[in-house]
Amino acid sequence: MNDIVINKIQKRGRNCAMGKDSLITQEARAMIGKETETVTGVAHLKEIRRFCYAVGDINPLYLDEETAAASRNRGVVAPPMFFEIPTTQEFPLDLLKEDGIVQSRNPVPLKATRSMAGGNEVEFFKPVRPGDVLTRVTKIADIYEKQGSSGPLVFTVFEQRYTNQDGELVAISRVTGISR
Amino acid sequence: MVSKQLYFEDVAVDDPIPAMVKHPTRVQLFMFSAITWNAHRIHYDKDYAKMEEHPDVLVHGPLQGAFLGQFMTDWIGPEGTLKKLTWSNRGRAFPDERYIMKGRITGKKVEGGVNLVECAIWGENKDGQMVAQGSASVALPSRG
Repeated sequence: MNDIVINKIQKRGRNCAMGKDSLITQEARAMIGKETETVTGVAHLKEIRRFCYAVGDINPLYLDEETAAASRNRGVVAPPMFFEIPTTQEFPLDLLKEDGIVQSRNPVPLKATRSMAGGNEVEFFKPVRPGDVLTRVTKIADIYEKQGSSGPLVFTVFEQRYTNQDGELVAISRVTGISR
Repeated sequence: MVSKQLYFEDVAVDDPIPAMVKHPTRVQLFMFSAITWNAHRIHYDKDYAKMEEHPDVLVHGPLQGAFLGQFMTDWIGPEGTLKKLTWSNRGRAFPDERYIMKGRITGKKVEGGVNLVECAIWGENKDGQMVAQGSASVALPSRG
């Protein structure tokens, strides 16, 4: 989504957010700008390989040790969008709602029942390597509302900073979740 | 697969980026749900997807993002670097249908000795509807 569209939506969002039909609670609004959680996880080689096969990204730089060792990376690295995997949190099945989504996945309390992916803006700084220990710090960057064809949509933007075991910045993502 | 190396001198503003086609299957969606630990039923349970007003199960937004990442890394080759990738999910894509990625070069500059190329990129469903729209910034080696 380009900046102009985002600005338009945000302006509209701020207007309709005041309406009585807003899905954004006062509690949610108070979370904008706040850090919500810090999670650490290991980038396992097997998970990198599973991710590559699931995506169909069979690049030898990720999957073939010999090719990877001879490359400028001097070893296997993960494909670009793998960085989210090591810090994806596990949860027991009884925390799943009927739709299969864990309630705590969206820490922002909204008066919405359904969710969808909205997109992402990622800056990459360092490749992820097998064995890396990644730490993700999440901040709620923005929450805004837009009138969709079938009612209000809430856009929650999570700003996530990923660092590795050496304290180096790996990636910054601004991931948007849509709730309705 | 890694394609041949792309060089900064090979690209010009307004050039199209060679398209990449994916054919996501229901099995692939299941495997992506598994590796991302995502149990959302709209990606594997058609009856449930209809309850959320979707005609069929949906290709995950983040899978489309991973496709777009591959679209860029296959294009730039092993010596190229993906610096930035953005997309917004704007429509629905379904399994067992063609998913085609296209792009265009929007800018070229040398910044601090790095050869940067800016691109507009997007994904289309089988009806040609733009279902993911984004941008990428890549660094390319020079022939010189």
